[in-house]
Amino acid sequence: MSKNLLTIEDVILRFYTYEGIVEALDKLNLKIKDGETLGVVGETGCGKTVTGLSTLVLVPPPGKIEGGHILFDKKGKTVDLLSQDEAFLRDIRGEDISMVFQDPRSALNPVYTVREQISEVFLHHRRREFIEQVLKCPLTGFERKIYEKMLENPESFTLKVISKIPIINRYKRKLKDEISSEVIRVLKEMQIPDPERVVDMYPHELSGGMAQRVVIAIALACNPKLLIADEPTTNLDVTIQLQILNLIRELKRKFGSTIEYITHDLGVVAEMCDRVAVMYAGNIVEIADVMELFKNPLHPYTKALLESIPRPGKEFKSIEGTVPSLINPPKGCRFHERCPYAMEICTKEKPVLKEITKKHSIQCHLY
Amino acid sequence: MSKVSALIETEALKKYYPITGGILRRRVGEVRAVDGVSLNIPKKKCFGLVGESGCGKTTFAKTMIRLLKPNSGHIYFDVPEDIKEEIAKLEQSKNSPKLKKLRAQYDLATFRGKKLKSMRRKMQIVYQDPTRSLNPRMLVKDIVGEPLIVQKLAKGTERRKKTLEILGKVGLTEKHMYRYPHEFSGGQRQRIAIARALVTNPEFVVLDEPTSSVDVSVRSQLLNLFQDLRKELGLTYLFISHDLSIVECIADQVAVMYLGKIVELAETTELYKNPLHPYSLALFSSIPIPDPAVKRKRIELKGEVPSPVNPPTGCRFHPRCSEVMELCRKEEPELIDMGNGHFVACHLFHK
Amino acid sequence: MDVKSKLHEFRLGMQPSIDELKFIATRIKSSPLSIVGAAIVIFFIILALAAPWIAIPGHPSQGGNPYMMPKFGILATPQPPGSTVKDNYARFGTTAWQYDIYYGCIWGSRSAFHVGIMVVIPSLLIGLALGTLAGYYGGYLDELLMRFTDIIIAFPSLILCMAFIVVLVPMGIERLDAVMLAFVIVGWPSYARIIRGEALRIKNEDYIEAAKSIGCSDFRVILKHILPNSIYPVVIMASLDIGTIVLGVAALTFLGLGAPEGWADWGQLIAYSRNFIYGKPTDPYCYWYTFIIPGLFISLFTLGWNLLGDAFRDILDPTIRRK
Repeated sequence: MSKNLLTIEDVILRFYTYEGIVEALDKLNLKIKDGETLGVVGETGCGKTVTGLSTLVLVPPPGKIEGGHILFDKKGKTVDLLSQDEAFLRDIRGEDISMVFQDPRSALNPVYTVREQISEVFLHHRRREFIEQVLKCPLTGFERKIYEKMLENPESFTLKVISKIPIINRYKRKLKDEISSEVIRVLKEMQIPDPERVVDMYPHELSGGMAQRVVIAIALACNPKLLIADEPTTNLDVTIQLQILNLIRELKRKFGSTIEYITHDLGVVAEMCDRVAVMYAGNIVEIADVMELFKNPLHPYTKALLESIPRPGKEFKSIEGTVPSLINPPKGCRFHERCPYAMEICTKEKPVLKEITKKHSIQCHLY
Repeated sequence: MSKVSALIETEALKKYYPITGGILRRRVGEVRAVDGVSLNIPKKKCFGLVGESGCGKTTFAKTMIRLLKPNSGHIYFDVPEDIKEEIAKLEQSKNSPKLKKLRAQYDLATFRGKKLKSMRRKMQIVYQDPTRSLNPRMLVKDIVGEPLIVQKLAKGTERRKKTLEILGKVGLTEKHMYRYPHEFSGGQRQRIAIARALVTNPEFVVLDEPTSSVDVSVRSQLLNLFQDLRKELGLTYLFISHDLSIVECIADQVAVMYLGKIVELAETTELYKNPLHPYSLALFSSIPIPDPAVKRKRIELKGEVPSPVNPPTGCRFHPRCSEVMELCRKEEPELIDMGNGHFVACHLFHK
Repeated sequence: MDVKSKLHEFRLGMQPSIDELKFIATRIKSSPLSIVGAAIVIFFIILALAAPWIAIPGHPSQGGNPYMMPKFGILATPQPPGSTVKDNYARFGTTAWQYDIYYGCIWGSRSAFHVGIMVVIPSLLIGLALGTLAGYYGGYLDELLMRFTDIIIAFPSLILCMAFIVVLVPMGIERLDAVMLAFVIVGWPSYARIIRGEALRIKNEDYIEAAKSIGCSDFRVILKHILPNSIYPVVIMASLDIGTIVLGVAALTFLGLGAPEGWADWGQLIAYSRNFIYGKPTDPYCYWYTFIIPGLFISLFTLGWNLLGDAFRDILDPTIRRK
């Protein structure tokens, strides 16, 4: 019985915009088990990306999380991420929970090389280990004293001053060299050919597939327990997508990470995920094991989604109507306006997520 | 190529982009975006063009409808077979003056000025991203009505009537006419773009990844719309996409492009059932299937798509091909007729 | 179409513009500085329009031209506000040689608008035309134009203006016209550069290619597609410029190269105070009214336009807009 690594409980997220208050997440409930790959599927605007961002407490203003808990299992201790301060969260991001974004070009800073961007992760999270490693190497007396000082009192004022003085701060190079070899090792893990050359390139010199590998490298550098992948292959060519998906699978096998895979592509979900959560307009409407979901979809929206997959020879099925605006969301079940099975109660009362079987939960009045 | 009447045909179409360098901006190289493509699109059919980014499919389509000027090659729009044959013969014998005259009259690649402008009425394009393809400072009625003004097809009330009519065909109403594009959803914007393309009653429409920027549910609505419009207005489509599953459902014939060349061409069912070219095999095998029960053998291609600036010698695919032979490095394969309308450009199939 | 349906269509067509204006009004209301800027500018507009009634012309010394300041006497020393000089009441006092400061300030706002608009609009139009052509066509035209603008921009603008004025006036052009012409010549390159940048950015957009695909001529593409989308930064710059131009003319007038003798212009008023900025050793600021009052008018005018320009930028900048 694997326990839950992440539990999102009754999270409410609102965006305060000029046009009104957008009810982005409506008492969201989601549990991710340790070691599984959970797919989060839905169309644009259903809230899947902000769910990922909320987990990292990185929702940009004018968004505000107003309620609920996000419980994360950090090395045996359960913490509520929503009630932690910024310093704690900064430690968690990158170390325990990481995110891979959709567009690798905009996820990478164009003025820093690959080496610098991956080193940044190590410098922030693994500083002590690297300093200790530097201390094991032959050093001049001055350098040794500085590094020891870094270990015992990293915030010291003298250190800060010395690190800014041009020629004297060459001591930093030893640290950077140590980190560099680690960076190259990480790139090799990502199956990037010729990592010694790639490490000094700038993001614009990389192809889409390479850039995405670098982004994944940054995310997995410190071996986080939870990886949130927000449509990582949507912008890539289909043959490159295959490479990246194979890579993610391989890395998961090696490192045992838990993955929250956000996408709108049902094919990718079928390939990669153990369990799937279907989202619509800020709610999770159905969660099931992947085989179960595709074989036996229960929620009308899931059924419609599966039916709208293009099949040769048949007419294209689409879902009537459009996604409702979340500024004044429909009362009751948010899908009722487009649901072919809508009943009286659907317009009044919002259904609760109910567990039908161990592998299958659904939020719908039909059940 | 089959002799079914082609609406638009290209022969050895080439489009290169010069790369300038140095102080005097001399030509130091060229990007061979389209490197000798001969295609024949039959009337009233939907022709699919697939390939990954950088293969040249969009450049080819834009060159075909003269949004770009080709470096060489012919484009024939609804030109009788005998004229095409005559031009071919004249090229062989290098008879300059008559060749020039015929080309100026029939070869779209050489058209200019008024002649070109009048052709534009018949060929239109729908772009991938409707947010970028609609002028954000123009009202919908002006966006859709502009082609009528520019082509001098209708004025005043007549124009208003036609605009309303075409908007109705794509599912929009009068009250949509007086709004700006940003007030609409992605799917609606694409409909506006489609209306603009159809308002001049064209015969040929290039659809450049028209559903890539919209949602899954809107996608189906748009695809149904495309099919209905094709039947209703007798249109011929060139459907470009990197989404192979959609192309399978909407196209009658499909061509696969790689680095500026066509590597395989066949009727849709034939191609998807029986891809021959190693690249097509890899491409089709990498489509994720939305059914977890089906496990498909996947061919993972190594490496990246090479740059079209310095394409590999011989067969362009040879550095990544699992079946590469010595010949592949030296000689470029031609498109071979495998029968049944199925063509492959690969030395493996040299008889 | 009959009149009723034409009106109906007109109203429908106006609706989106009305919505835009409502949005702009809300944005203006939300920023107090914009309101202040708008208020100041409106104040000066009213002042300029009401000038013939607030500061009545008709004094014999004006020689029939209401833009000349009335001269109340011949004394060199300025008279303080509220004093009467030869039966003429000087509400704000008089300058050296007894020009009425009050009249000068009020009609000076007319001058300011006159100069500001007569300089900014031609600069704008020339800059727009040349900049769009350069940006759209590129190539040699672009290079040529840019080198031309480089030359003009390389000089400090005020000094270049002076050079032009010194050349133009002997050619027979009226002094104030020469000043305005000089400013236009020196000013259009900045507009051209901005518009060229915008044109370069926009010409690669899909909708420009789409316009060409339906057969639009280059002229139509530039007029209907590129210009409406590129005009915002220029509008912002223009409103900021009106304030700057007036400052520039004031500076030139102070140096003697701007408005002619006795012209109702703020800079002219300050020019007359040149010798009286430091008054008597016992009472250094006794002639404060000769430069503080016109100075206030200049500063306020420039401030108003600057705030308004900032407001425009905040409202019209598409990257900040919520849409």
